[in-house]
Formats: sequence, structure tokens, C-alpha cells
Amino acid sequence: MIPDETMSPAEKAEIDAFFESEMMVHIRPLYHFAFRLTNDEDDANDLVQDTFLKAYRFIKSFERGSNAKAWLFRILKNSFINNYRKNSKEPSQIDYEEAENFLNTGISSWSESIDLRDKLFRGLVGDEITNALNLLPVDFKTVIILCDIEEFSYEEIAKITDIPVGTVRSRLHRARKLLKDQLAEYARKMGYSTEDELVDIPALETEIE
Amino acid sequence: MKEKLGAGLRKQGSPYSDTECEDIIRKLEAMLDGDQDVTQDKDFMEKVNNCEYCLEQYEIEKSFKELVKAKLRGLVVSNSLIQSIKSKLSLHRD
Repeated sequence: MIPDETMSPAEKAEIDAFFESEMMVHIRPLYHFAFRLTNDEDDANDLVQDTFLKAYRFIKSFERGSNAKAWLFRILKNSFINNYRKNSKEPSQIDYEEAENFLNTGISSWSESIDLRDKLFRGLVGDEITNALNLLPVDFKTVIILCDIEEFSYEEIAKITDIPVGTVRSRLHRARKLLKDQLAEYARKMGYSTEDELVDIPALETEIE
Repeated sequence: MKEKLGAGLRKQGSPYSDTECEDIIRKLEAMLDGDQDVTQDKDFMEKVNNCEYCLEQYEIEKSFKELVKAKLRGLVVSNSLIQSIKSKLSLHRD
């Protein structure tokens, strides 16, 4: 767990100081990310701890002056994929393929429901958003967290998730569409919509054999 | 058998086709995310600024982004986690 066994005490002291000031300061957003991915406090704690221990071990590979937060997020994301994803306490998610098929149909039930917005937003609390987010496939959930909560740029998200910027763009759009539909569905169930404000559009019909 | 997917709510008055709307929404999202490819697209920015429907849609997307951010923040990191990590790292210094 020591970055380099041959380093001098002075070098190690410098690295330790750097680690505390440049890496440890990101513990809060890292914990947020870990908790949103795992849905479990203990798993999130373990994941964050693993991330910092790995970061410390490989601190010499970190390019000083580059984005430390993005570097840590990338380590955490990879640790999650490798160690936690299979065991995480996720609720049953929307099937990825099903989600893709639905999204490819091109119509979101949210996007044009302008007057619904205020009613919906007033009625929603954190739990509904969290539940809706948790229903998303993990790759979709990840880009929403990185973009909307942590405010990483598309380029940073691309580096963290190892996907091209163009894929970040399209994945975000699709993820939001799914999330909006989940929330719109919730709003309908709670009676936030009213018939006179909205009109039916021709139902999108898909042939299912 | 036929099954309805995605049917339901749609606000009247969009001057655009479904495909055009989809493209506009995608770009508005990117704009709110600070994507310069979109903010530097003068034709698109002019289109949005001169279109009431697009401006309304922009407000929806903006509200949605703010909603997600506001509702999903606020988790507290336990002190024991911070201490545990610092303690493990301190051991390495010995």
C-alpha cells in the first residue's frame, strides 16, 4: 500500500500532504456517487475506502495539475464495475434492451407536457427521484449523476466512463428521457395531470409478435 | 398483437415534427450542460431565441436538471469513514 518503497521520507511526506489536500477533499462527492451506485451505506463506505486506498497506491501515476476529482471518480467507477456491481443491492431495473427499444420509438410522454411541469415538480420529493433513478440501467444512472449532480463536462464524463463524447451525449439524452418518463408516470398515478391541459397524441403502435 | 408504447401526453402547439422536437430537446439539454458544440451553433441559438415553443421547452429542461440536482444532493459522509481512510493511510506513513 505504499506508493513506492524506495522513496525517501521527505518524498513520502510530500505525497501524503498532496494526497490529503488534493484527493481527500473529494470524499463527499465520491461518497454520493458510491451511494447512488450501490444503494447501500456499507457498500458505499467500502467502495469509497477502496477508491482512496487504490488512489494512494497509484498516486505516482496521477498527473499533477490534471483533474483529481475526475481521476478519483474513474477509479471508483471501475472498482464498482469490478467488485460491487454483481452484489449491489439494486432494485430490479428497467431492462436495458427494453429501454433502448422504447427510446428508439422516439416519443417521450414528458417532453411536451409543459403545463404538467409545475404540478409535477411541486409534488415530487427526493424519494421519487431516487426511486426513478434507481430503476435506470447503471450506465444511464452513472451519466446522470456525473453530469447533473457532479457537473462534470462531457469530456470529463467520457474519460471517467471510458466512452466517446458522442456516446456521453446520446446516453445522457436517453437516460433523461427514461427518467422523465418514470417521473411522468409517477405524476399520472398521483393525479397531477389534468385531462383538459393535455391532448392525446396518436398512440405509437409497435408490432409485437 | 399491437401494444401502445409512449402514448399519452403531448402539449398542443408544437410547430415541429416529432423528429425535429427530439433533436431540439437533445440540443437544449446539451446547451444546459454547457456543451460548446451547441452554444456555438449560431443557427440553433437563433432558432431557439425566436421560437416560443423552444423557449418553453428550454425552461422545462432547465427545471428538470435543477430538480434532479436539488433532490439528489444532501447525503452526509460519516466521520467514521473519513477517519478510517485517514487512519489506514497514516499507517502507511509509519
